[in-house]
Amino acid sequence: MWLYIARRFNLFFLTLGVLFALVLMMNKAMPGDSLVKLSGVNTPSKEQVVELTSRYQLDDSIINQYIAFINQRLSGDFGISLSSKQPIINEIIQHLPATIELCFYAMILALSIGIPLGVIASFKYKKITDHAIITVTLVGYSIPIFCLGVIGIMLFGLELQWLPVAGRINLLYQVDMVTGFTIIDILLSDISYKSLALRDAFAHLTMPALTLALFPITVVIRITRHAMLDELNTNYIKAAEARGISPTNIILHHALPNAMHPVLAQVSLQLSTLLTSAMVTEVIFSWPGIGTWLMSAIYQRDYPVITAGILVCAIFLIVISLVSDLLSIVSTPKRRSVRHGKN
Amino acid sequence: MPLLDIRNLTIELDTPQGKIKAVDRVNLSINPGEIRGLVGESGSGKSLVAKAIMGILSDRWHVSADRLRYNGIDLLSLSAKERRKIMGREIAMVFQEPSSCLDPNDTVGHQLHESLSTVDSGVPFFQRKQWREVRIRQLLHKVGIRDHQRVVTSYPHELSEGMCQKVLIAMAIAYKPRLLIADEPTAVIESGAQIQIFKLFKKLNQINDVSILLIDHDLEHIKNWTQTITVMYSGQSVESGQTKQIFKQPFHPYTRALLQSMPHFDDKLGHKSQLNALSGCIPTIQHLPIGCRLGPRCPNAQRLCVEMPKMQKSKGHYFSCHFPVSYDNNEKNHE
Ligand SMILES: Nc1ncnc2c1ncn2[C@@H]1O[C@H](COP(=O)(O)OP(=O)(O)OP(=O)(O)O)[C@@H](O)[C@H]1O
Ligand code: SF4
Ligand SMILES: [Mg+2]
Repeated sequence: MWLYIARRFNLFFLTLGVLFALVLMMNKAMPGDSLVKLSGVNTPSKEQVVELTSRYQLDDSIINQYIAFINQRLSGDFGISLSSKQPIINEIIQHLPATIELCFYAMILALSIGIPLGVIASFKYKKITDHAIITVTLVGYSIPIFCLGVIGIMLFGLELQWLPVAGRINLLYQVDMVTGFTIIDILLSDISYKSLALRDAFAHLTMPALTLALFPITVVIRITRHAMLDELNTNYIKAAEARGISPTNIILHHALPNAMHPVLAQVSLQLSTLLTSAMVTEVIFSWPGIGTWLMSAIYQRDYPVITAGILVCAIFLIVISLVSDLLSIVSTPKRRSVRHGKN
Repeated sequence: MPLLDIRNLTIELDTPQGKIKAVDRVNLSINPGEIRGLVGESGSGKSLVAKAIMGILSDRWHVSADRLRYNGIDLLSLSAKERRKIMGREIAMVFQEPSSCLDPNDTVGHQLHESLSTVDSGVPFFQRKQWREVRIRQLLHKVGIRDHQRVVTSYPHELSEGMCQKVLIAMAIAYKPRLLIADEPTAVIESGAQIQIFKLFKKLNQINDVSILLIDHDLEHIKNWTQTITVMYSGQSVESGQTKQIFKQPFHPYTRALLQSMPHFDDKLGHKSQLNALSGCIPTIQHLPIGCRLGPRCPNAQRLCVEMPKMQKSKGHYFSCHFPVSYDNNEKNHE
C-alpha cells in the first residue's frame, strides 16, 4: 500500500509540474508583454521592471523562468489584477470558498439523492420503478444547465417569488467573513438574527445548488445502478442469498459497500464537469465565486487573473482526485494489503 | 416420499440469439438420509442444477420443471421470502470457487456471525454474541481450522482458497440443514483434510439425518461416500441408480467411459468389451448434436441414435441409451 501511495504522490507532483508548464506556455502565448502578464503591473516603473524581471528570471533560460514561476505561485504570489489592482491571491481567497460551498452542497445532494435512487433502480431491475427512474434520469441528463437555471429563476424567483435569484445572502445581514463559507460564518458570528440569516442563506443556496446538482444526480444514479447490478450478480451475493440472509441486509451490508468503490471513483472523475457547470451556474445566479470572477476577467482580458483562475481550479481538481484515490485505497481491505496496489 | 424430488428440470439461458437450453429435462431425487452423488464432465450443468434448487440463478436464466419439490413443497411456486426461509434453515449449499463466495470487504468473522444470526433462537438477547462466538469456534474446529482466531479477523483475500472453502462449509453446516448441497466441497482442500470433511459429512448424515447432494469430480470420493449417483452429460441426466450397482455394471456408454478413466477400475472389474476413453469433448450448449448428445463421441452409436433415447428402468437403475453396454447380455434390448 505504501509503495502505491508513494507512487500516487509522485504522479501528483508530476501532474502539477506539467500543469505549471502548460500554464506558463499559455501565459506566454497570450498577447502582450510577458512581464505585465505575469505580474499584472500594467505600467511598471523602471525599478519595478528590474525587480520583476529578476523575480521572474525573464532574462534567463526558459527552464529558470519555469522554476521561478513555480516558486512565485507556490509562495502565494499570483501577481495583481489588471482591472482591480488588488493582489490576486486575496481575490482567490474571497471567491474560492463560495465555489467550493456551492459544489459541496451540489455534491451532497447528488450523492444523497443519486445513490438511494440508483440502489432502488438496481433492486427493481427491469421493473416499472427501474424504467421510471431511468427515464427521468435521461430527461435530467439532457437538460442544459443554463436552460434549467433560467427556467428556475423565471418560475420560482420571478413568477412565484419563492426564492431569491441572485447572490449568497441578502445584504441586510452583516456577516463577517471568517472562513468564507456563509453557513459556517453565520454560525461563528455573534449576530442576534442568526436563524433569520441562516434561513436566508439557505434560500439563496437552494436554487443554484439544485440546478448544479441535477446533472451529477443523474450521473450518480446511473453509475450506482450499474455498479449495484454488477455487484448483485457476484458469487458472494448469491452465496449470501443461499444462506438465507435478508435482502435488506445483503444490499446494505454487502452489495452497497462494495459498489461504493466504483461509484466514488467515477464520481471523482466527474468533478471536473461539476466545476465547469458550477461556473455557468455562478454566472446565472450571480453567485460570487471563481466562475463569475473568471468570467469577468475574461471579458476584461485580465490575463494574470485568467491564468491564476485556471491554475487554482486545476490544482483543486488534482488535489481532490488524489484525496479520493487515497480514500479508496484505505477503505478497500484488499488494496490496503497488496504491496503494489494493483487491482 | 423423497426429500427432494425433481422431474424434468429445464434451465434456459437468455442470449441475444434466443434461449439456449443448458440443462434439459433432468431428473433427480434424494430420499431423507441419503447421500447422492452427481457426476459429469466439466460444463455438464451440475452447478446449474444445484443453483436452480437454491433458487439463486440470475434473471437471465429461466427455470422450469414438471416437479421441483422439497419435502412436498413446490419450490417454484414459493415467493422469494418463503423460499429464503427454506434456504436459511433447511437447505444449505457449499459453493465452488470458495474465495469468490465471501464478501471481499468484510471480515470472515463478521460473515460467520451473520450466517448464524438466523438460528440463534432461544438464546437471550444479551448472550447472543457470546453464544455465536462459541458456536463459530466449534464450527471452525469441526471443519479442521485450528487457528480460528486468525481466521475470524482475516479478510477473505488473506486466506488460502482451501481455508475459504472450509469457512464456507462451516457456514453451511451452521444451519443444521436437512439437505446439504456440496458443489465440489473438497476440490481445493489438501487431501489429508478432504477425508476429514467427508467424515464430517458422513457423521452429519448418520447422526442428524442430513441428506447430501455431493457434486464431485473425484470418482473415488463418489464411490466411497455416496449411496446413489446420478450421471449427467451435456445438461441431461443419462444414468442413475445405486452407486455400487453402477460402479459394478454401468449401462450408459458415457458412465462406462467415465469409470474407465478412474485408475484401477478395470483391474477390479476385469475386461468385458474394450472401450477406449472417449475422444473429443463435451459439446457447447450452442452447438448440440441432434438425437443422443453423446452420439458423435459414442463408441456404441448406431443409426437409431439420431433419435433422443428415452429413460429406461431396470431394477431401480435408470439410463437413457438405445444400445446400453453390458446390458444386452442380461435382457432383451429393443431395436
Ligand atoms: N453465467 C453463464 N453464462 C453463460 N453460460 C453459462 C454461465 N454459467 C454456466 N454456463 C454454461 O452452462 C453450462 C453448465 O455449467 P455448470 O457451471 O453447471 O457446469 P458444471 O457441471 O458445474 O462444471 P464444473 O464441473 O466445471 O463446475 C456450461 O456449458 C456453461 O458454459
Ligand atoms: S443412445 Fe446411442 S449414442 Fe447415445 S449413448 Fe446410447 S449408444 Fe451412444
Ligand atoms: Mg460446477
